[in-house]
Order: sequence, then C-alpha cells, then structure tokens
Amino acid sequence: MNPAKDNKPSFQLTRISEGEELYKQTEIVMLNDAPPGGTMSRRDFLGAGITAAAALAFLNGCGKQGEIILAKNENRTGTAEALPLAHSGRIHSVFISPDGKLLASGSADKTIKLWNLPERTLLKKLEGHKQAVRCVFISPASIALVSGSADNTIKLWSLPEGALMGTLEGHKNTVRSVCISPDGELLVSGGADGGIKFWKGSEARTLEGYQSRISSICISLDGKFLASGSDHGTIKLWSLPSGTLIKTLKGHEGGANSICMSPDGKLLVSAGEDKSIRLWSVPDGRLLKTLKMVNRFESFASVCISPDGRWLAAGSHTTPTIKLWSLPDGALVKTLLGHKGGVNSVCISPDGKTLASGSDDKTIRLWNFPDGGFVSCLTDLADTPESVKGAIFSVTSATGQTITYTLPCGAAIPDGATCACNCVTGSIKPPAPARRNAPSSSGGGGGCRHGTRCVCMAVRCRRT
Amino acid sequence: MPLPPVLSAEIYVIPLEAGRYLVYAPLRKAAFIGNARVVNFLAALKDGNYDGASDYDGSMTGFLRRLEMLDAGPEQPPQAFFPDAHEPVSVTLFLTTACNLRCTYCYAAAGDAPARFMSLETARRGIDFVVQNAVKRRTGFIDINFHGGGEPTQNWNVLTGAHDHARRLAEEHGLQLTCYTATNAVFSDKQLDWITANLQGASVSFDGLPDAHDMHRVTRNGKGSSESVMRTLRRFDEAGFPYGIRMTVTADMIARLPDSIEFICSRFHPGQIQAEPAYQIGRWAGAPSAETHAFVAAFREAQSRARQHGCEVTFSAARTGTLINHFCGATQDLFAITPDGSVSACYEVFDETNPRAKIFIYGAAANDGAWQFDMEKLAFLRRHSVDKREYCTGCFARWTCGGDCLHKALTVCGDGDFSGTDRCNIIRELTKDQILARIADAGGVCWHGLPGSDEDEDSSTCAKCGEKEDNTPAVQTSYGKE
Repeated sequence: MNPAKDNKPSFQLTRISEGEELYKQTEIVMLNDAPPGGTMSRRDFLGAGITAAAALAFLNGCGKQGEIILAKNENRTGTAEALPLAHSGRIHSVFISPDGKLLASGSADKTIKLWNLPERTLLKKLEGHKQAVRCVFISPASIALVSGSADNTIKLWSLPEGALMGTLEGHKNTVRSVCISPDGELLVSGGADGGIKFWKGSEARTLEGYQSRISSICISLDGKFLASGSDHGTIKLWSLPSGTLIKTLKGHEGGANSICMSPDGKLLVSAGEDKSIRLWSVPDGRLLKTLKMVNRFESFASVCISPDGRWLAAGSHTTPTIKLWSLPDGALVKTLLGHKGGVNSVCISPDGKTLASGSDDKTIRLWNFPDGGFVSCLTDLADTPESVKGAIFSVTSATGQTITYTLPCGAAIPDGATCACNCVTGSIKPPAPARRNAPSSSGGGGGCRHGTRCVCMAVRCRRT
Repeated sequence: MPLPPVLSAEIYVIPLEAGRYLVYAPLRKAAFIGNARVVNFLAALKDGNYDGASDYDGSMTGFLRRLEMLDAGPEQPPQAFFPDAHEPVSVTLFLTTACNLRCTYCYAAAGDAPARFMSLETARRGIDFVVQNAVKRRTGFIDINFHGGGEPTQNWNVLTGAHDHARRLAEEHGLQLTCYTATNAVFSDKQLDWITANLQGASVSFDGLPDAHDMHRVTRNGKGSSESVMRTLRRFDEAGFPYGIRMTVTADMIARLPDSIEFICSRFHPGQIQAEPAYQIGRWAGAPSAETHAFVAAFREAQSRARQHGCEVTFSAARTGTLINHFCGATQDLFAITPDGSVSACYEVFDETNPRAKIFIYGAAANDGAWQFDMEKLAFLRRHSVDKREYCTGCFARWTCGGDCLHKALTVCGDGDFSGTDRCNIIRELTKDQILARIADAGGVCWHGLPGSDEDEDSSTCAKCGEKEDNTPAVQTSYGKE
C-alpha cells in the first residue's frame, strides 16, 4: 500500500476536466444492483446514467427519506433491516398447533408469541421467561403450550388464552427441546445439562445413559418411541413409557442438531452439524441414506417431515435457506430463499399446506407447501422499527375471514387482495383464474409497483 | 427573478471511473454518483456561479435540494461538548498486566514484564467516584468496563469484587449498572457462568479459523487457545449472552480473513465482528504491516461472505452514517484506571512505563482517596479533534472516522503534526464501500440518511443476532484491544 504519509488527501469539490468531454449533459449514475461488499472495488456495478429529472422523480416517489426499494423477485426482496419483524430477537422455534389454528414462536427476546395462523395476526405475547426461549411445543389437543428456555425452566401455558399454568424447574442448563406424547400424558424435555426428563406434574424422572448435551427430542406418533439427539452426534432410541434404551445410532460427526420421526413411525431423520442429513429406519436403527449437501457451509438446525410422510423440510442455521426433499428417495426438490439470517426452525402445518420458518433475521415466514411459494410474514408491528418498509394486504375469504399478508416491498400482490401500499392505494388485483396444477411460487404476479419501483410505506403507518 | 441556488453542503468528490464520480456530503448524509458535468455544476456553484444551461428544467437543482446539498442552510458539524469539571460516570479498569496467553502480536506484550494487579481498594475508589458523579449529575446509570493490558479475568477476585461493589452502590442509589469486559475467553466454567450471569456483554478476541487463531493466540506453553475460545463462544450463544468478536489480522493471515469470517458467521452468533490489522507495537513491533491493499481486498471479500450469512464485519474507523469529530474516548475524557491507580485516557496506555504515558496518563488518586486530574493534559487531548487537523481537511472520511486512533497516529507520525497513516487508506476505501452500499440499498440512485440519526448505532450489530434490539446495550467496541 502506498503510504498515505505526505500524500495529503484532496477530495474537496473542485472543477475537474478529466472525463467531462465524455458527457454532453449532467447525468446521475445508477448502481445496477446492491453491490456485495466483496465486489465493491469493481466498477461493473455502475449502471446507466439517468437525467436529473428522472432522479428527482425517484426521490419524489419515495417520501422524505429518499429510500427506494428495488422491486425484485419476492423470494429475494427486503434487506435484513427492511423486513417486517415478528420478534425483537432471533427466533429459535416455531410450532403449528395440531388443529392448525395457532402458531407459537419462541425467541431470544425471551417472549413467546401466539399467532392466529389462518388470519396471520398476532394473538398474544407471553412473557415470563428470563432468558431466550429455545423451544415451543403445543399439546396434541391444542389446549396447552410448553416452552423451554435458557433460564433452565419449562413453562406451561393454557391455550388459546396464553395464561401461565406452571413452571417446571429441574434442568441445570438450557432447556433445548420439549415434546408431549400423543395421549397428552407425558411431557419430555431435553437440556444442555445432558438430561432427558419425563415430567408428571412437577415431578421429573431423569433418563439414565446420557452425558452429552441434548439438542433435540421427538416422540413417535404412536407414542411408542422417544428419539433424542445430542451434541456428540449420537441419537438414542428409547421405548415409551418405560424409558428403556433400545438403540444408539452413530454416524454424525459433530452434533445431531435436530431429529424428526415420520408419521408412520418407521423413519427417523436427523440433521447434523457435519452438514449431513441422515435417514434411519426405526426401531432397528439402520442408516438408510445420507443426504449430501451441495453447499459446504450449509448445516441444518431443524428438520420436519410432512404429515403425509412424502416431504422433508430442513432449515439451515448457517445459510439463510430452507431445503425440501422428497421421501423416501431423498431427492432435493427445492431451495427456498428469502430469509436474511439462519433458519433455526421449520414446521409443517397438519394439513400439509403451509410451511412456517423462524429465523435469526427475527422474521417468521409462511410458505405454500410443498411448492415453496412465499406467502407472507407474521409481523408484530410493535417489534418492527419505524423505518421498515413493507406492504400489508388484506383478503376477505369466501367465509368472511380477513386474511392479512405482510410482505417485503416489491412482493407481488396476492390474488384478490386489497393493496394498502401508498403507491397504488386501494387497488384491487382481481383473482387469478383457477389453475389446474399447484400454484406457482410467484404468488400471483402483478406486483405493487410505482413504475418499476415499489414505494411501500413504513409498516407502522399502516396501523392508522 | 428567482435567486440562484446556494451550495449548502461540504461536498467531496471521489473518482470512480473515467468521468464518473461519487459525490458525497457527509454532514447531510447524502451521496450519489454523477458524471463530470454534475461535479462541475456543483463546483461552479461553490464559486458562486450558476450554470443555468445544465439546469434548464430546474431538475438538477431540484434533485440537489432534495439531498440538502443546495439551499438547506448552514450545516452542523459534529461537536463534542466538555464540561468544566471532569465528572465521568463510566470507568474502565485495567485490572492486571498478567495474561494466561502469549499472543505473538500482543500490543501490551502481556506477560513479558512482571505482572501488576489492581487492588480491590483502587477499583472501589474508581467506582465510588463514578457513582458519586452519577448521583450528582442525575444520569441514572454508571458503566464499568474491564479491559486489557492483560487479561482481566486473571485478577478474578478484584473483577468480581468490583462488580459486587458497583452493583451494591447502583442498587443503593437507583442507578442502572452496565458492565462489560474485554477478554481472551480462556477461562474456567465457573468464571464463564459468572460472566454470563452478571455482565451485560463481552468483547472476545478471536481470530476465526482455529489454525489461524492458534498460530498467534497461544498459551504460555505455546499451545493454541482456539478450543477454549470456541467453547466459550458456544456457551455464550447457548445462554443468549451478548458478545462481540474482535479479530486481529496479521500480514500472514490476511489471505485467510474471508474464510475466518465465514467460519465465525456459520458457527457463532456474535453481535458484532470487528477486524483490524495488527498494531505494530509491543510484541509485534517490527513485524510486517497488515495495513495494506491486500487487507482491503480481503476485508471486502470477508464482508461479502459475512452478508451471505446476514452478518456485518466492521472496521473501527469506517462508520458511515455516524458523524463524529473524535475517534474514541482517548480525546474525550476516558476515565481508565491502571493497575497502579493512575488515570489513563487511552486503552493502549495502561501503565506509566508506556512511551506515551506522559500524554495519556492524566491523574491519580490522592492520599485522601480523592481523584486529582491534570486538566491541562485533558484539554490537550480534547483538542485532538479531526476538525483541528489540517491534514484531514480534504478527506471525505474525516467526519466519520473522527481522526482515527490518536495513539496510532502518534506512533506513526510522532509528536509533530499528523501527516497520515496507512490506516487512512484503509479507512477511505472501506468508507467508500459503505457509501456505495447505502446508495445501492436505497434503490441505486442516491442515499440520504435521516438527519441527526446515528445510523451505525443500529447497523453495527450483526444482523444475524441483532441482540442490541433486545433492549440490551451493544457490546462495547474496544479500539485498542488485541
């Protein structure tokens, strides 16, 4: 590097001659696209020159802050700072109730939020944990919510009221995973203290045989098996209700981040810190297949099998991606892009039509399943900074239900929605004709645009 | 006849390619890219000449007015206000010069000289003083920071004792206590549990890839420390404890910076990642410089990869959006206490033997316990604001870098006038990147930040964690700590 010493910087505004002959008139030069930091020194991001009149028109269309958000593919729109947020901290866990009416989310902001899933609105914010909420689970009858936290406690909440029913203490470290048996009789928890606990009331029995930190637990739908994954990478299968160890599955190098069992109870899927996803047969523990990752940095924090057992969804906590595979063949079907931070949790609705994802970017996204089209964010306006731009649409269903869509700027207007964006206030996009196949991931097209730019309002303004 | 437009911004012009220039008004937080004719239109206005032909429809002036570059009245450069009395409510305690590591590039050469330890009495005396000031000034809060010269946790009893004392006094007086530590993160489980339970954040020295880290950050026996540090980071993440990572980049590790950043982003959740070239003093005096073009290139690549993970890498003196005229506390009355009980204004100066001690050590406790300060020395330090540096007048980054680290400037330039450092080039390149990124993020035409907003206060946190928005204060950046 040439030493700056004695080379006094001189960037003051002064008349220049170099390059003036190249242009006949004044021009404002556009940047082609958001240049990633690594390519900033290259000049190829410089785009065409536009007239000052055009530049002024952009500014006039964008309010006093002069911010213009590019209209792009909806799965890619929105910067991390410009997303409608669900929590004020990263989201560790999302869970959809068995009746499909509620979604619970647990966050580093120490709260749990209950959402009306069909309407996509916030119902309640549950406060009480003193540290990050690491896991949430809704009971099979959808009448109770269980949460585990870095404050080492488990809390029980009534549904749909969200009243605190009790606190279970016993773990000596973060409670990372909780699960309730299908008959609703047994609550099981796994902690970073290495303990798996069976809870009956406030009394706990600890399973023997584990030393490493528990990362994930799962109970089979027939209630006969419990599976547990650990930071050491081993997965253990236990019989229920006795808690007898049946088998130890070894293969992951590094932690087994997440495990899930298929609805028929014959398949167990595990995601490892070693960037592999493994399929195992239950109860014999035979390794059936290892799904290899294309991206060497992609490690999955959460796996979920669809209710029909035909699909596997996994959220990556090291890259902002969700991947879908078909089962049992393990063929990669789709990669869902849109999150701006690692995806910590994914959950498929009981009807198999919606995938929910919670991310480090503090957003919860809903996706059509299995086609993967982005549907909406779940948004708490109280946790979304004033400066965030977004578009909120509403659709009234045939049954009179009002469904809310909160979308990053530039997203396509949902079919039949009323646009509340300030650039085309009140415009209605007519419903698209019925299509025979599954809906495309474009979500309907016909974006909310001002010219080629969307100039959505700060989401909080939409409250008035 | 309408009055001709008047230039109302301090404007800098940064060449990008033939005939195309980045036009930047830092005090308006405004920028766009224009061709040479736009620059000359502005230059003519600066000289009081209005080129009507270039503005035949009024849109050029209209555009510039929207960016407050024209007809917006006088600008307000950032100013630091200093009270007559020195009554700090934040104290930094250099607890010890002892260290359990022997990092090759340690600016403090910790462990080479006989270790010195702060007494609990000295720590308490400093805390008593800031509490007394907080009560008098009705600030409602005090800050306690544990910092280097060594590893703070090596003086564990005083660290915990000082914290207990501060907490007790804070409760007694209804003050909010915020307590951070800089650390090498090599400590026991018991210490780790105490830190996560009692402190509000930590700045952890970690260099990323284990082999890169272990090359320089070694124990007394020459063993790498990465395993211990990563264990601590995992535990911090587990507990949701806010921390930042401070990376030191030596010349031999520049090429590995992108991989190191990616390693961190894919495994841990720091609130901030700061990467700085190694400072060539202490144990690293005479070593090859990392303040090079290669560092800038590696930083850009690292930034690109970090963003793919939703993270941001920061460089201490490149902070577009934050308007300042002082770089850090060294010229703004930092109240730091050395192990021997002297008062220092600089994180790099932790004892009287430091070559710059005469400049930065400005006080001590008298026999009766009262703190006594050399106000002339403080006044001298306060005068080192960037607006008083002749060399910096033509630099577009001056209002965002604040003149960079005074200690480093003195090391490079001596006691005479500032004449630039190799860091200046890095700062300008990275600041330029940030301006362009802001334009791109705002739609590609121009950037105009909110007046008075301190954008980097928000954007400095890692987007991956963003824990700062969880009502927890950001992890303090310690500019000097390596």
